[in-house]
Amino acid sequence: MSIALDFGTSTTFIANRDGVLPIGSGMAASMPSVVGYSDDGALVIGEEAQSAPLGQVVRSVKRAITQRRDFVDVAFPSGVRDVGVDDLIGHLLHEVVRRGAVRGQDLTAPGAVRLGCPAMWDGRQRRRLLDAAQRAGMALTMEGLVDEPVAAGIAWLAAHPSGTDAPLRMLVFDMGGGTLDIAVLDVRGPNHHEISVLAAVGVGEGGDALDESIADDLDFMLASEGLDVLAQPRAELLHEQLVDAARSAKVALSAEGVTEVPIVLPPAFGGIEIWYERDRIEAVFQRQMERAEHYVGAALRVARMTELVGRSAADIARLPIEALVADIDLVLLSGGMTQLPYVEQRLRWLFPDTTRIERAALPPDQAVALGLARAGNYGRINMYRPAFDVVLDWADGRGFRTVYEAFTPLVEAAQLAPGGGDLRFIRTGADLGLPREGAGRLRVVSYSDSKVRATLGGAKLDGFAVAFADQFEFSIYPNGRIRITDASGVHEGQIEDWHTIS
Amino acid sequence: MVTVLGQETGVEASVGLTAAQLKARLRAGGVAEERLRSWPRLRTQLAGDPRLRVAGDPNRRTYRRADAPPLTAAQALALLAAGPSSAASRAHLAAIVAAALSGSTSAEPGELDPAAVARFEQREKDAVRALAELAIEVEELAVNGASARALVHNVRIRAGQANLTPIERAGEFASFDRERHQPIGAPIADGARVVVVRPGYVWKQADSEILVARAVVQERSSH
Repeated sequence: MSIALDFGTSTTFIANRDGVLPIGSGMAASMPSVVGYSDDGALVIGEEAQSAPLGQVVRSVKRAITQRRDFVDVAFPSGVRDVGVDDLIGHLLHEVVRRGAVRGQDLTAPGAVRLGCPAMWDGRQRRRLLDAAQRAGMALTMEGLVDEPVAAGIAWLAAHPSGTDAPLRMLVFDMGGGTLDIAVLDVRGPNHHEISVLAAVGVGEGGDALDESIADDLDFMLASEGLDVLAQPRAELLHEQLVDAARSAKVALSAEGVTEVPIVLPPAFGGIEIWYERDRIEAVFQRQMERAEHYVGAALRVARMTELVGRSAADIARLPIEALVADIDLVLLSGGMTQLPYVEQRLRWLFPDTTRIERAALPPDQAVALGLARAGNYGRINMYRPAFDVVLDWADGRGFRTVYEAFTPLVEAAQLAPGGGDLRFIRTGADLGLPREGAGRLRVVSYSDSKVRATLGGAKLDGFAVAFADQFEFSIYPNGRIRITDASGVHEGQIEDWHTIS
Repeated sequence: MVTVLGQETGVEASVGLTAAQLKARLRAGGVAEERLRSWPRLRTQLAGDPRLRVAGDPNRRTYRRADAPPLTAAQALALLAAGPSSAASRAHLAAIVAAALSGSTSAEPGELDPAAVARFEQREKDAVRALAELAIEVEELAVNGASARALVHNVRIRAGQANLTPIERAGEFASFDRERHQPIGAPIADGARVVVVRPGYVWKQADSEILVARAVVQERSSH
């Protein structure tokens, strides 16, 4: 039985098919994704790291991979030192392996683990996580990595078995503490067991940003009560109080039926009692949700690029949002922030009445772990970032270039805005530094459970003979079309098995 | 060992005794010969005893102790409800109940599944943490001089997070309803005007409601 490992930005869960397995050493089921150094310089992980000295705690270490940072600063008593991110993640995952063993789960067995990763990560970012997992003792390969929104979708699909084979188009809206991830999925096959990622967009704006907005609003309310926050002798301490109160108010107002919460300042700050209402939180959240809806639109436009019908990027960029949202059958809410009723309310306004809006799982912060535990039953294809390399080799392997590197996005959302035509992934002979004469052969290296079926010029893409020329050009289009130009001419092909609309 | 007619018989799970060996052991243990003479009746009684496994043909029967049957989910639930026991024992019982609910056979009787134990302990931790968070919040609000309205409001939000729905509000008036109200002293007639001394709570679950505590009330005239 495979074990799910959801290494989240703030917390880490493990799960099996029976549910989440508690690995917290404190009161929580999860382990904090926190590493640090104790007073004597020893590495500490999880709950223990949370109480390490200020400056010696590294939170959200996963975000360093997203931001492509190799090192983080740690302020040791002897001075600030750079510490390798990948080493820290390796230590953290090793602790997960140890805690899993205590719960009777062997995470080191070959193929035992399925590990989640953001859908927006490219091949290098995925390999960093994979290397760290291997250093932690896990016998994990790229096939064991599952896109997090796909896992959230699987959590829902597993709980809602379908009696139909009709395609289902799903948008996963995952808003957590620090990030918003949106993915468009296409679900097909008998009992909906084939899932394709059509688009994935991620931005670093989540619950933390809302906490700051609410704190600013509380500041404004206190001013009307006669308390000028900035004029206080320790204004920064009062601001910390307001951010903390904002976080509590946000959680309390996420509960059904709660329309107001009291916020009471300590006597040192006047002991003022104010009541914060749901209408206010919605007013300060409005701008952030408008931006979120903009990202929903961008993801839907990228997803439209997978269609085979002859529509240019410019056409898709001009499509009104009403036409794009009509594609979606189901919106899945994942991440703690989606418990705020306003999130669902805004999405209900955005999507037509025929679109269902549901939670991926309850509690929503466990959706990824629960889905990973069942991912083995589902076929997964990433059409936005295909899970295979295309390598060109020549001279009996003495020369080779990676023409397409796995998990590179075929198009970026930003490319759509200018509306340029013929958007695709493209590499030329000059980009790759290829010889101008001679011959080579294309090879396909798959990182998914299944072999890549693709054709080119009537032959298989894997093994296709290339005649080098000045004008060499290789393209993959978002709809799976492949085109190569070499000395023998222009050859067209197609990636099979993609959920393209013809 | 199994006790028959008030005597230890020496019947073990691994060793089968013939009727003659069994009678000899009972005799040696002090059972009167007169009782052993009614062997046909005693044999029928032994055959129906769930603690014994009787094998062989009618003329050459052997008697051995039956293996202890595994606890059923209902028995495990009853033992859980019976009262305090060790955490490991509670976890084992909970694992049997959980396995029955999920249709899983992974929790073999007598075998502690560490994952099931961890899940059971986590449920206990979640309950304790919710109580601690309530205590923390009440103390903070009280020290900050929060109004009674603010205190009660936040306590009710916490209770709501545990699917607890209040019955009445302290200090308010209501018509006595014996299903929802508990008199503080003398019995009260249905429909009588009462004042709520302290609220009650109902625990709402997916398909049922459990009355945790009735609201304690007093007749208005005697307040």
